[in-house]
Amino acid sequence: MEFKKVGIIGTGLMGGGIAQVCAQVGYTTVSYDVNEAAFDRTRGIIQASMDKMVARGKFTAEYVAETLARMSYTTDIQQLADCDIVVEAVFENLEVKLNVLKQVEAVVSEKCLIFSNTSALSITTLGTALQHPERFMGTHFFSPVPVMKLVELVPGMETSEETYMAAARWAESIKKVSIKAPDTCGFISNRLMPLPQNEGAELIALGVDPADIDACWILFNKAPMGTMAIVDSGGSHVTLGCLTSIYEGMEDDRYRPHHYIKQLVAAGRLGVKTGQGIFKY
Amino acid sequence: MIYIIGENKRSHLLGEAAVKAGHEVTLWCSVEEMQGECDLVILNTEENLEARQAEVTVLEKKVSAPIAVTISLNYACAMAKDAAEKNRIVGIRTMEDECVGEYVELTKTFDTDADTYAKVLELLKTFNERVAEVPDIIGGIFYRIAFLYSNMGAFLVSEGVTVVDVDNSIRYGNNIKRPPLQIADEVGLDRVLEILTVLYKETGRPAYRPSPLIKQMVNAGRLGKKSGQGFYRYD
Repeated sequence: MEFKKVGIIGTGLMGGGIAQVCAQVGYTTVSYDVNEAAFDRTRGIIQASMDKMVARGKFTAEYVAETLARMSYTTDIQQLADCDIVVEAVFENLEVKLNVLKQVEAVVSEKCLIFSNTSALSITTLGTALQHPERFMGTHFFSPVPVMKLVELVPGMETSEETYMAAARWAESIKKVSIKAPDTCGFISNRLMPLPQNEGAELIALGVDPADIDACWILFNKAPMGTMAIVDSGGSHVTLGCLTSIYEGMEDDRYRPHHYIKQLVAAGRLGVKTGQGIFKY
Repeated sequence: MIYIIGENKRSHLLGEAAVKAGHEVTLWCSVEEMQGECDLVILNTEENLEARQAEVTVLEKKVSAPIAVTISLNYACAMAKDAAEKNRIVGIRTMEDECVGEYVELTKTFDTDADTYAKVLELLKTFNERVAEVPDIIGGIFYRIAFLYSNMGAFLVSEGVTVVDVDNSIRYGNNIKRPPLQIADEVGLDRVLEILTVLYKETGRPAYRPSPLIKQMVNAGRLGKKSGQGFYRYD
C-alpha cells in the first residue's frame, strides 16, 4: 500500500466516518481529539454502522473486528507523528482550523499529506497556516461517510500536482468517487443543490404546497428524496448557512437566501431535528 | 369523453393515460376539426399565445365543457384573455413530455369558477397519480425547479469543472440517478435556454439568468441528445 497510517483530527460524525472508511480498507487510523469524552460516542456510532452491514450480510463479524482493531483514539497529538496522511475534520471555524493545521504540521513528517474536510472555508486561506502548503488540500466528504461515495478534491492555489494526484489515489483506495472542485465557496455540490431549494422557498411563499415540489423533483430527477425534504433533513439552518456563505463570499445574488428560509430558522423550525421544518415530523 | 386537441407526442401520452384510466378519448388535430360534446377539452396545440387565444374563443362556442389549456411558459389567465366564458377555463402543465399520467399541475385563472375547477381536478385525478394545485405563476412548479441546477452546472463547466464531475457530484453526493447536465441534454439545450430566458425575464430572479455557455452551445447547434452532441456526445 502506498500509504499506511492515516490520522484524523476530530471525532465528530465526519471524522469518525472518515476514520472508519480508512480502517475498512486496511489503513491504520489514529483519531485525535482534545476531549476523550467523545471517543466512546464515536466508537458506538462506528460499531452501529458496521453492525448494520453485518445484519445485511455485507460484512462478516471478523471483518468488523479486524477493522476496529486498526483504529485507535488519542488526546496526544504526538501519536500522529508517523502518519502518511492527516485529515482535519474539526469544527467549521477558520481560527480553529488554522490553529489545528499549525499544530499538525509541527508534529508530522515533511512527506505527510494534510487534508481538510472543510465545506465552507477556502483551502487557499487554510493553507496559509502551513510552512508547506503544497502538501495541503481539501478533501470534502459527504455524510454519512461510510455510505456516500462522493469526495470533492479541492486543490488550493499552492497545492502541488503531486499532492492532488496522491489525494486522488487515496480517495480511490477508500472506494470514493472523486471530483475536482475549484477553491470557491460551496465547491461543486453545495453550489448546485441550494438553488432549487431557494427557488422552492419562493414557490412556497407564492402558495405552492412543498409536497408538490418534492413530488415533481423526485419523479423528474429520479431522486430518492425531495429537495425541500433535504432542507429539513440537514436542517434549515444548514441550508441558510450554505446559501449565506456563498452569497457573502462570492457576492452572488443567485444565492441570496430566501426570506422563507430565514423565517423558518428564526422560528426554530429547523426540520427533522426539531420536529418541524418545512414539513412536520 | 375527453377531447384532446393537438397532434403531438404529449397529446398522445395524455390520451393513453386517460384511456388506461377507463376514459373515452378522442384526439383532434385542430379546433376546427373538432365535433361533438365532451366532459373535458384539453387544448394542447402548439403553445403560441395569440393562436391559442383565438382557438379558445372558437372552442368555447363549440363545447360547453370545461376547457383545460396546456401551458408551460404562459399565464393561464393570458390564455383566457379573449374568451367570453372565462369561468370555464383552467391551465394545466405537464413535465414537458415526461411523467404524463404521473404528475400534472392544475392552475386556475382569476375567473375560473369553483365548479369548473372542482370538476377538472376530479377528472385529472382519475388519470394522473398526482395533481399539484399551483397558482398562476409562469412555469408553475416544474419549469421553475427543474432546470436551475442544470444552469448552474453549465456555469461551473465554464469555470473549469468537467461535465462528468458536475454530474457525479449529484449522482454520488445525492444519489440522484438523473443528474443535471444529462437532463439538459435529454430535454434539449434550445428548450432549456428558452425556459431559463423566459423565467429570468418574467421573474427577474437571478438564478434563472441563462448560462452563456448554454447560449454558445445552442448557437453552435449543440442541442444535446437530439443533435448528437450537447454536454455529452451521442453516437
